[in-house]
Amino acid sequence: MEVKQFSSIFENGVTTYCPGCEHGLLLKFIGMALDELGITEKAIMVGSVGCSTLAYKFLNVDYVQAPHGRAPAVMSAIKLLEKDKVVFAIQGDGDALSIGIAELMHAANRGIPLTIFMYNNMVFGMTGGQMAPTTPEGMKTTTTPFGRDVKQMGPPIDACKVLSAFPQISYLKRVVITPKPIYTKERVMYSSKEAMDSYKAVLNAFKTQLMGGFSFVEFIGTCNVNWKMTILDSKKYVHDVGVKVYPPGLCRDVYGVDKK
Amino acid sequence: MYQVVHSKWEVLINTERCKGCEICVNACPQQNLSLSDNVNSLGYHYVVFSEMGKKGECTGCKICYWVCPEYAILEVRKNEKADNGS
Amino acid sequence: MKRLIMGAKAIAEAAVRSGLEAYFGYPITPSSEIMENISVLYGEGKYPWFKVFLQSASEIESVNMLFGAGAAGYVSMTATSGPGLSLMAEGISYAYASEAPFLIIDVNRGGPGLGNVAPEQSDVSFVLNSLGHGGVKPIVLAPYTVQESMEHVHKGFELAFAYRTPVILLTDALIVHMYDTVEWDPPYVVKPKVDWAARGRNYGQRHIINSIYLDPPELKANKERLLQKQKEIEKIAESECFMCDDEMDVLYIAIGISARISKEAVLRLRNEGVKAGLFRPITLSPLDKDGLLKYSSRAKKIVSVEMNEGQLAQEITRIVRRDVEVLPYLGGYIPDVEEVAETWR
Repeated sequence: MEVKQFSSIFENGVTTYCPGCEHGLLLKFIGMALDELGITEKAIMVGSVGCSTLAYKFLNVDYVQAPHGRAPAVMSAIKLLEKDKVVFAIQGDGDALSIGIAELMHAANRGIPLTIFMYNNMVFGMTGGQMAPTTPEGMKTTTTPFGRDVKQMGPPIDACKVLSAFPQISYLKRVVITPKPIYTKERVMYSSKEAMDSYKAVLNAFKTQLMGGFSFVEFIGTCNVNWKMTILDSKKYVHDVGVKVYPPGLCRDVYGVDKK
Repeated sequence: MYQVVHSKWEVLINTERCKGCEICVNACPQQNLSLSDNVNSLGYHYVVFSEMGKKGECTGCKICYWVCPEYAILEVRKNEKADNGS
Repeated sequence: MKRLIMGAKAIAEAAVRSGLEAYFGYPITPSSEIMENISVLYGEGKYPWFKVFLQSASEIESVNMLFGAGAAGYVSMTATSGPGLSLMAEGISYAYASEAPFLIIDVNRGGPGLGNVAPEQSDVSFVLNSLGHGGVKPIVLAPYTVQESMEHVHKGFELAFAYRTPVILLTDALIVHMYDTVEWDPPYVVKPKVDWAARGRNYGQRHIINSIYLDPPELKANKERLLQKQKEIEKIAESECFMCDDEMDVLYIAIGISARISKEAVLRLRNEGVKAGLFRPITLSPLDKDGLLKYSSRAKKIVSVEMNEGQLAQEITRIVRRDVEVLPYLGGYIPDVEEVAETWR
């Protein structure tokens, strides 16, 4: 019996991510969702700059590489001209909320049916772990070696709160993609609930675009290499610190895709 | 690349994708997965599936399939070649 | 049939009738009238290929939307001025490297910095040297009348898709705001073949519009491909030499409105018996080097008349390797015919 393959994922594709990073999980779910919804042949991925840039080596869909932070603008033009295609992008938290926040907000305000997945690991990953707008107070990064000082830099930016201001967004959700460590007497196990919830969020985000709405999903994930933690410690950090700064939840679901 | 087993369920692994992060090793309730002593072409010790884990046979729960970030665990499916009764 | 029309309206009409499919723009004086006229034509709905008109939130958003439209294989355009073009440099660099085509009209105003809104030609160095990081050489067209602007819009679309490169139409605040007589119809609607465009796999080959090549051999190969294309593009270099048949006392070199005024100066000088001529580059990049060398070798003196400190003269000097006198007009002043004529001595 042949092993099941996804036509949206290269058969010999290997992700370029560090061991333990959940970015690969997001790519895998995108590939699975594209095939499940049967939209692989009409999908166009717009790449941003950061760890998500190299997604095109793993996902076998049409690809346009946009400048840092500008993916929402590039996507808007493509979607307006190719209305029946599914246009999506994976952005990092630095790409979407630092340099690209203006483009993101204007795209969200217009509400053109697009899908944006933001992988939030609370640092700039690809460039080596500098502070990002989403870095929690007191977290040590390479540019905040003594911890983020909110007096000068302000508190971390909450993407769901920012985007909630725009009335023409149809699906706005935050999920934790990091598997939660479960402690038993003998060892540590991982839950698969977060992974399954993330897959549902990816699926529903695409469904929202197919119904004509703008969808944005934020995934809270790890960056164990730049946080300078072991894989297990980084997963603990997300569930101890990350979810308190960014509580997961559904901010808006106009088409009710989550209930179906 | 793929392992043939005699248990009721089989876990199909693409060892070239595995980066030895051990998330699946920890996640498996039956402790059926472990890192091999061998390395793949990327240089990582890849995960291997055993017929009988420390806690018992694979139950097909698919937790490993869901949590693997590399899509190294390709599929968890019923083993057609399983010997019934062993 | 000849008619009187304002530059901005003419350019807007030329674009829409030539096959414009998408317009993304941000208002900036002195280019806003082009966008305003296009929005009217879009609203009238007479041209079925004109699919999208969108006023973007900034020039950064404009150029990235142009890049998206070009990546998807659609004919797109914007009009901006100096400060906006500076912001677009990143997007133009990406489009040049990824081979996504579009047309940008630069209505040159007074600069640098905020400057003023009077006409200048001070973006010449910017568009010629490298319009973005990494060595970016878009095609640059320099019309000198409203009619030529219309022809160049059509030509710009054609060239952008023939060579898959960004094209800049370098005009100025005066040409866009003057009323001029034109007689122009588009020869045909530009409908390029775009089998390379990213419109989904559609059960066929995957399409990639990309500029990242992490391995040096790959990046070198991409740049060499672009340089080879640059050599091909040299073939379209065009220029006009007015009254340059024989030996000349003075050869004027100018583009845009400076060229139009210099033509008048040449006529007046010829009336007085002075052998004057005007070399006018029509394509600023690629520059017609052969024509320039041929005609400049016939002239005792070369004078570059430009509305900047001597940016075009710098380019000319590099090619002809002799002294080029500059008649600069800074701050938004337009060349004066008598002043131009006096420089022949």
